[in-house]
This record gives sequence, structure tokens and C-alpha cells, in this order.
Amino acid sequence: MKTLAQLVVVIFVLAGFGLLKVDYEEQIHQELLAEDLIQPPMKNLDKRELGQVSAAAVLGGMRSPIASIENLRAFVHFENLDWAKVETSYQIITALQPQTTHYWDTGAWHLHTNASVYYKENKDLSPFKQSAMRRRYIDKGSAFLEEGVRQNPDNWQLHNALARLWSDYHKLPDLKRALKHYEDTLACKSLPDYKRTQLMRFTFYTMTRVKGREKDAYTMGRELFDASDRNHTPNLVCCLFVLQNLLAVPETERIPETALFPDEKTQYAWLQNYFDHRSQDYPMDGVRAKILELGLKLNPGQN
Amino acid sequence: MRRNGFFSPARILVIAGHTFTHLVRMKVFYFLAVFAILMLAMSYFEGPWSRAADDSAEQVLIDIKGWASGAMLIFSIIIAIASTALLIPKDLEDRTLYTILSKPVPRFDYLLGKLLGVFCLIGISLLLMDVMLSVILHYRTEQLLVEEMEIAKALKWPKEYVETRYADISSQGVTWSLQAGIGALFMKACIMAAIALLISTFSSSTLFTIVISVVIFCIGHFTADARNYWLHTSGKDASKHVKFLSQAAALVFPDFQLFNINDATNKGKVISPDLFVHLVKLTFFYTGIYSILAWFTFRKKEF
Repeated sequence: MKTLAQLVVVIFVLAGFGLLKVDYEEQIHQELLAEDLIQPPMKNLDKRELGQVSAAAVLGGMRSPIASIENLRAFVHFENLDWAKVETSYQIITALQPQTTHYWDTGAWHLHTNASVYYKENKDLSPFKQSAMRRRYIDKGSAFLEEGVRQNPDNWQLHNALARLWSDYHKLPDLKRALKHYEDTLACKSLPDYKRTQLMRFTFYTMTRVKGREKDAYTMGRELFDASDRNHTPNLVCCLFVLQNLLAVPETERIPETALFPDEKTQYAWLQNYFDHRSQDYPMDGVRAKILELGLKLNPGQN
Repeated sequence: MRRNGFFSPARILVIAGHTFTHLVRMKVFYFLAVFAILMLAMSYFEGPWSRAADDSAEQVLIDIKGWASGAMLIFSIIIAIASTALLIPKDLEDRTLYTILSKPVPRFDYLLGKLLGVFCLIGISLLLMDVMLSVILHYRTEQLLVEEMEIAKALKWPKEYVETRYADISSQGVTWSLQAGIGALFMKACIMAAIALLISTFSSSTLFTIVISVVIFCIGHFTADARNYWLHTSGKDASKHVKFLSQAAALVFPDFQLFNINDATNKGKVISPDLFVHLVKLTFFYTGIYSILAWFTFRKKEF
């Protein structure tokens, strides 16, 4: 009886002092959340999928090791080509460690590359099923990355992964979508300076191929070309050459071909290579004629 | 006169020293061998494709820190709960308790001395684990830096990219933030020890103390959710019963989620001194309240 009375007093005192601390704790909690120093609360779905042992460990502050173990488990599912389990594993992993880019990236890669290729090449399926499953897993990979972006809006690597996915010609490219993700990548504050120029070039290449954005692409390409010699890459130079033809830029405002290309032999080689990528929706205005012209000039005996 | 007063730091330190020696004689430090093996194994373990991504070197180091902090958490909490739960029953069994309390030693001093002894044990255990982790982490960071610089040389990376990679990998090595994360583990374990002490003052068995302490440890990881429900759920979404229960949980139990900053520190995020001080204040608040309540239930206890 005495113990019970003491227990009641203890609980009341704790509750009383609890009133003093609750606002203070809430304030620290919000500060820690705002600075991404503690993990956000888990969704109910994740808690259900986690299993009892893992859930107990997570509650005890063991998210990181449990995520590592689940990552190994996901690898076993991948080896068994069990894509549904791979997907579930990465849902759990990213629920445990939503701020780890590596897990979002790897999980999405399994879905949009490994799983989609598996279905594309699975001869046991009908061609319709092959195509549908391929599309489905590419969409799943994209959705996975989009969830990662939703939870980490300033993560440039995740935006970039989406941009690469939708501009990849081995998948199902959607250049407008890819361009949006490249622009989102460039808008990220977390994007390091050393990556900015390279990503601007990628954005330019994608913009060049999007119908209706050629003028913006030309402006961007010129800025890049003027900014540094390191941007004078074969593809950028060829794109500028084509855009000048496509937009009918007056002769006086054009970058002369002698400034674009180091010499005629290199121009011939670079334009040939550019022409070989015509299936990737690059504009080809004036390329064929220029290749023919240079071919005659450089190898007169062969024609 | 001061030595026989209600609160004597010298007397508390003597009891703390005795408690610490007593616990060390129980061979608790043998667990360090397990930790050392875990650390060695983890330092050479690389997950599937862990060297495939751009930031894979960092991920290897984050994994080492994740496993280490997980192990530190488990060991420190076990030490905190088990050793505190054993204190009073062991003193009763050895009859030391009668010898001490028959002298002019206030019970509050006795309890504080005991608690301080456990804090010392937890602190030294964590310090030793921290040293092991720091040595292995430093060694592994240097190794990965050498590997990365060799790749940079082979691929002729631009200077700014090499510098950024160097800084990124180095930031995942031994840092002050990592120490702050380990400090938070210490605080969590201290609070658990104080809780176990409070329970042991009215518990009749060691097992009961351990079980209830573990339950409170788990509830402490729900407190943030409970507080969130209580403070931020209103209207038709709110259930009166659940709201009352969540209010009770938020008031009575400590919020252990606030101390889960390890995941962030393991990823190299910086903890501001202000936030760290807030956590220290909360630790003092909790250990103080629990110690006073432990004295309240222990002050007239008959043996």
C-alpha cells in the first residue's frame, strides 16, 4: 500500500515537472527536425513492414545498422531476381534512412535498370507483357526517386538521377521531363560549384533536343561557350553549329566556324560523330551538307 | 560538520569510487573485446556495390560509424540498466548497505554516489569505445583517401574536384560532431541509469527493474509521437482517450528521440553548441528529478 502511494506521488510529480519540460522538448524537437539532425517520424506503413524485431531496434535508435542489414537483404533479393522484395526492402531502408542519397539512388537503379531490363529480356513473357513490365519498373524507379526528392527537396543528386533516367536512350526517354529535372538540379543550393558547369552542359544538350526550346538552348550554349574553353566539348560545339543553322542566326551574330572548331579535319570528325547520334533527337540542320562539303574538301580523291 | 551534512561532494565521490571499482571487478569491460572485433570486421566490410557510386568512400565510413554507434548504444544502455538495477540488491546481499546506512551517511548521498559510480562506468566504457572507433576510422579514412587520390590521378580529375572529394571524405572521418553524437549516447545512458535507480528503490527484484527500465526506454522513443499527437492533433481526427494517453506519456516519460542525433553526426552533420547545451540541460533535468524521486521512495525504506 505504501509502495502504491509512493508510486502515485512519483507519477504526479513527474507529470507536474512534465508540464515544465514539454514546451522545451517540443522546441528542441522542432529545431533538430528543421536542421535534419533527427529522423522524421516513420509512416505507419513503414512500421508495419519493418517487422517486430527491427521496429524495436529502430525505436531504440538503431536505424542506421538496421538499414545496413536490410541493404544486404536487398542484395540477396536482387540475386534471386525477386524484384517485389527488392522494392519492399528499399522502401524499408529509405524509411529508416530517408536522408541517405545512396539508398534512394541504389533502390531506384534496381527498379528502373535491373528490373526493367530483366523483364525486357525475359523470353517467357509475351512481347506485350515484356514492354508493359519494362515500362512499369522504369516508372517505379522514377517514382522511388521522386519520393526521395519529396523528402529531400534540395538534394541535387536525386534530381540529377531523375534527369539522367528520363534522358537515357536505353530506357524510355522523355526529354521535357528530363529537362525539368536538370533545371531543378541546377536550382539546388546543395549543388557543388565544380559540378555546376558540367550539369549546365547536360541541361543544354537536353534543351537542344526539346522542340520549342531551341532559342533558350542557343542562349545557354553561347554563355557556356564564352565562359570557358573547358566547355568547348565536341557535342556542345556541334549543337551550337546546328542551332545557328536552325535559328537562322545572321552571319554577323554567329560564332564563326573557325572559332567553334579547332580545324576542318576535327570539324569533319566531330560532325560525323554528332550525325551518328541523330536517333537521339538532336537537330541536324546543316550537318549532312557540311559533312559532304568537308568530305569533298578533305578527301577529294575518294569522291 | 560539512562532511556529515545532507549533501557532501567528498562523501558522494567516495561512494562513487567504491561503486565504480565494484562494477569493474564484475568484469564488465570484457564486452570491449566484442566491440573491438566488431570494429575490425566492419572496417574491412564493404556492402554490395559500395564502391560503385560517386560517394561510396563516404558511405563506407558512414557504415562504420553507424555500426559503431549502434553497438555503443546497446552496450551503454545495457551497462546503465543492468549495473544500476544490481546496485541496491548487491549491497543488500553483501550487507554493505547496512554498514553504510548505519553510519551518518544520508540516503540521498548514498544514492547519488551509486549513480555517479554508474555514470563513471558508462563514461569510461564509451570513452574506450570512442578511442577504438576513432583509431579505426582515422586509419580507414586515410586508406580511402589514398585510394581515391589514385583514382583521381588515373582519371585526371580537375584540381577543384580532387579538393572537393578530399574534403568530403575527410569530413566523414574523426570529427567533433561525431564526438557530440557519442556525447548524446552518454546522456541517454545516464538518464536510463537514473530511471533504473528510481525503479530499483521500490522494486523487489533486479529482473523487474531491468524489464521495466527497458519498457520505459522503448516508451521514451514514442514520447515525441505522443507529444505531437497531443499538441498538434485537433478536431475530428483526435480521439479523447488517445489524446489523454499521449498527454500522459509526453508528460511522464523522457523524449529519447531528442538524443538520437547519431545518424546525423555519423553523416558528418554539425551539431551546434546551443543544441548540445539544450540536451545537456535536459539530461541534468531528468537525472535530477529521478534522483530526487529515488531518494523520496528510498528515504524511509526498511531493510
